[in-house]
Amino acid sequence: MNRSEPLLSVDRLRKAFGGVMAVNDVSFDVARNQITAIIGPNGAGKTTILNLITGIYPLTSGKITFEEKKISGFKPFQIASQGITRTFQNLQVFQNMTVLENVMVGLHTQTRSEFCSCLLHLPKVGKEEKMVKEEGYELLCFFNLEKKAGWLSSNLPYGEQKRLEIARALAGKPKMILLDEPVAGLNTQETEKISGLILKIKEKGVTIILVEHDMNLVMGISDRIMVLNYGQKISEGTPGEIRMDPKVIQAYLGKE
Amino acid sequence: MERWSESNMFLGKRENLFLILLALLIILVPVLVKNKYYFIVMNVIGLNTIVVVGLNLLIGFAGQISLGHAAFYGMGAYLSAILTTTYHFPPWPTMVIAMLVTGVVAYLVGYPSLKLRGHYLVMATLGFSIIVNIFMVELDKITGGPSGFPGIPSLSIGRLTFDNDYKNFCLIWTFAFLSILVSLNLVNSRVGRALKAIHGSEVAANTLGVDTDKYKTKVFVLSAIFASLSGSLYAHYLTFISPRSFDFYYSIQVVTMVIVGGMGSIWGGFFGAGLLTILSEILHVAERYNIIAYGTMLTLVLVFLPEGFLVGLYGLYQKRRTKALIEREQKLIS
Repeated sequence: MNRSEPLLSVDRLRKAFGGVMAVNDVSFDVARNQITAIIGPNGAGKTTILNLITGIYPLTSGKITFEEKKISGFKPFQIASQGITRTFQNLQVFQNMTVLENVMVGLHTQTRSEFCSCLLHLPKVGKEEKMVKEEGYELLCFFNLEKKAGWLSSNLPYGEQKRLEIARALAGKPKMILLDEPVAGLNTQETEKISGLILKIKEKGVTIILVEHDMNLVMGISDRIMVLNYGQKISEGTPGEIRMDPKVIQAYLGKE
Repeated sequence: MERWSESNMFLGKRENLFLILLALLIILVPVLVKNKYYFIVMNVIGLNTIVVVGLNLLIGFAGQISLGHAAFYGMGAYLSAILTTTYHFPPWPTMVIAMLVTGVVAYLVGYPSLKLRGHYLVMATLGFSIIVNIFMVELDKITGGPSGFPGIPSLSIGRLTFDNDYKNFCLIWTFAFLSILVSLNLVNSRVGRALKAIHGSEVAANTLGVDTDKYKTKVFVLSAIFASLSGSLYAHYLTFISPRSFDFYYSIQVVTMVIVGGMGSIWGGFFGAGLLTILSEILHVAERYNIIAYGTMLTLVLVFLPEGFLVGLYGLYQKRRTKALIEREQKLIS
């Protein structure tokens, strides 16, 4: 695999909901082991792009390639097994399961046992269970949630549920992780914690796409930023470049 | 304490303890109980347990609702009855054939309707069970029609023929025990977690690599196979079956058992099957009020103990205990 090739490459992506073009002709590349942020005003199409990459919505047209393999048209679970996982803007923690179980579901792609062997509890299932439990617990330690491993996840405070979602997405050892507003609704301290975690995840060699409104966070940790407005890409560059771009300022604040 | 998950309460060592207790109970009951009528009731509980435990995997764990399990139960019973009596198939292999056929039919019903979001499975299974019931009544040359199908042979192993209530108790409860055992295995595994995840958030499960359509279809087929097994045992036990035992009312009954006992708890399903079977026996004298009693019970449970009797009461007990602990601590401090 060529290291200089982009990990993810999005080519002339379009998504129409009825007559509305939510994403219109957007192309971009995501380099390996970088943090790429997607920003833009509300309704710009940021979350839609994440939904298109993860296969939740079918594309109207365009092409998405991951590690030089076309993944557009794949179902979400197939995309997960290619090594892309995500978190959600509106939390999608499994409320009916414990904290540890949530992370263990994240390890689904790392394990194999199916219905028949599980029903009979064959020896390999027991081995796999042990592995999954240990790895899940280790991951909870990384996210500082190990003391609450046995809690029903719906009983966690909001900030910890956000962290749990990231932990769960990371459990499947993804090559790329998509974070949809990971600090929305969090206070400054919690935001700092998440920001530190994101950098640590990057250190682990995971590529990150970040959708976020918190500009301090975005400017502070992103390697590259793409700006969307009304479904179109209006700018792209390093945080410094974006800060100076008059088109971006106009999109956010309006024309003088 | 209160925050500790209820879903964890029967995991691990405790679960094994419960299994051992159940096994002991199954062994001890025939020694202690002599009344024939009690055996009949317990056998019906056993048969219902098999259906309810399977259905709970679908409803309680995967969060998909079926109103057609009477049809799968009936298919097991009628396939076993017709093939062994009319065509003289050997009973044991026939049971397996019935399970396979029912499984395939369930796949054909479930696959298309589970691909759709929403309550399509409910409608599809409801319609399907009505169709199956019409077949049982109208194909009277094959099924005996509304007057039923008599003369089904009893099951036997070598010289041992399961021809009375006591012997059938041992047979039925062996299968009920095994179905609880394999269900517990499934629930505490990768597949069980995937099913619960589908219940929690289908879209999130999917983005974590769970093929949600496949898992939903598979657990639906599995629950139909459980029902078919129970139906076959029923046919060989009573040696007579009629369409009335497999009508829409039975589907409602088993769904009620799942909900009252506790969705997402295998032991809750067992408990629900026991409680409601006994209740309907008690209410036998006033059969027309049976449905009212069921409806009332279902409503009360859904309003006051939405997690079901067993899980809900355990939760209340936990809360009480935590409260008492906190109060004691506060007293100590003051």
